[in-house]
Amino acid sequence: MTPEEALNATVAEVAPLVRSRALSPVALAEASLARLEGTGKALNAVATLTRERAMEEARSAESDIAAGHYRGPLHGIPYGAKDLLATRGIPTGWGARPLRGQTFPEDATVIRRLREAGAVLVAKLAMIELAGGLGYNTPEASSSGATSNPWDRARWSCGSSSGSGSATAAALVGFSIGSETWGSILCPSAFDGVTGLRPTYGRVPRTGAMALSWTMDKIGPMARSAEDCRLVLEAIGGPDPGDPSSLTVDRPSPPAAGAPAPDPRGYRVGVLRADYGKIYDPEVAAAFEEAVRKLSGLGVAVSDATLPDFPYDETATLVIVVEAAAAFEPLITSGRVRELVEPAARWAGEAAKSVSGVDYVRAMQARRLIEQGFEEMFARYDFLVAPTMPIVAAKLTDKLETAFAYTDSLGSGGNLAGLPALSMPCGFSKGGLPIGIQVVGRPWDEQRILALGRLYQENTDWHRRRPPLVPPRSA
Amino acid sequence: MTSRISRRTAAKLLLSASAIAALPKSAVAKEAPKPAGPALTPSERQKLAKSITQLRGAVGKIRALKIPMGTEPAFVFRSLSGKR
Repeated sequence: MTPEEALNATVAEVAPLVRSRALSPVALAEASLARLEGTGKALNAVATLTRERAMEEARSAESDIAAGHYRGPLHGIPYGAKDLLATRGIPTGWGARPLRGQTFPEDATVIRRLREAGAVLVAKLAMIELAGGLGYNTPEASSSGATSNPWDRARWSCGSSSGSGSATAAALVGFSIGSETWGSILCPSAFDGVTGLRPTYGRVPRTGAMALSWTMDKIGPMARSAEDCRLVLEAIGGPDPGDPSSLTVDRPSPPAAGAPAPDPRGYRVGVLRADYGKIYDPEVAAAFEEAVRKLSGLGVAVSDATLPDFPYDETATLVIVVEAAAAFEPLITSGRVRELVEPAARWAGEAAKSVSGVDYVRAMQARRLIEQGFEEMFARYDFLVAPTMPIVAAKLTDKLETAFAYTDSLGSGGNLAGLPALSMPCGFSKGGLPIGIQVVGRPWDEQRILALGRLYQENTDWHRRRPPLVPPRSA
Repeated sequence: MTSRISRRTAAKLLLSASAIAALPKSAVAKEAPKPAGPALTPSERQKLAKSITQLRGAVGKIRALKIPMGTEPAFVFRSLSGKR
């Protein structure tokens, strides 16, 4: 396997070759950097190339492995990080023009952990400004402009982890790191045809990450298989003193390394088809139904489910609007919000002030009821599944308030309740655009969600398809 | 000029939802918040009004939700001492 071919493969496939020294981390990093410079720039997926650091980490990986110090499956694998994760001495601009060139003295915990695992940081990846914290209505709302979808460059990669989705799909990196407050890992995963994991709130520490909503922000892997997501999660998850949300005491211990994966056959899966006829693209609905049939054929017990009636979207909106206005207060009061691409950011702070403290607390009470509602659902089902997005990738010219004019109860509710979710490709439209299925589970149940994902991907090949502009793998 | 708050008024402040109304007028007037950042243009003000209307709609839906008294909000407070 050449380094270029290795970039199209999964981490799980490449790791043994790196370990056996059949593949050189330096050659892998060079191949990744070359593709980021070419295809990455064409897609507008890159915020900053980290060439110097990448080559230093790759050389270090190569010499460590040669000396017999193999650190694990991420050792020597090139990756990209959403540009809201601090990286020592390298600009971390949060996708926002007023913060261009911002640097931090330390790596974010996730970046440090990946470095310790031997992964090679090749790029900071493009994102929507402030992860959409002060609102956005166009894919252009980023200091680096709109990020294209590698399956159709006139389409959007989705946000806010735009570069992470696009770069992973186009095989510019082995995997990437994204973040989600509401939809920012799952939507790009679906639009770009990659496998993305939104971990349980608190699973992955956010120390050194931009804060948008302290009670809803989560960091997670975007990769080319569920197994790769598991490998990355193992490296980045776990408590960190810098992030109190990661110190939850009732966290179940992760299974010991090498423990057998749970067998997902017999799991009870609730299928959510709310508002199906009204909002779903028929091609999305057809691909999703086929995926449900596949799961059923694999021995998973499938039945219809309906979410309890709550104002999910409204609750998530209030929580995020208020917390984001507090998070970005310095930008708002200084007037530097006027430098952002999105005009609505100029009055977002004033609008947030119209929500009273009592209303914010009421929203957090509603959130508790929503959490309890999911708990009751998970007494009947092990997982809930639904199409990740009801539509295929939007056009770059679309107004998002029109393209995304539908309710997203599972997305908003799942994020409010801090639930883990996996999005994986489950088909393509006739126009060649990816379609995703999401699997949502109980808090801390990532291992079983990923096991279900792995079972599905062992029996399908949607996740193995690559966009046309990427050179195909040789057999 | 300062004005003293009677015990009865203080109790009102603690117990009443309209605590602001019980404050001496001057204290409220002096603390009127300044608008954040540069002033909005008339067209931006219109859009702000629209955003506020949308947020009020969301607030209204949550207010319409039956929330049992005593429901603990979904905050998680953790003392940091001993955890570092």
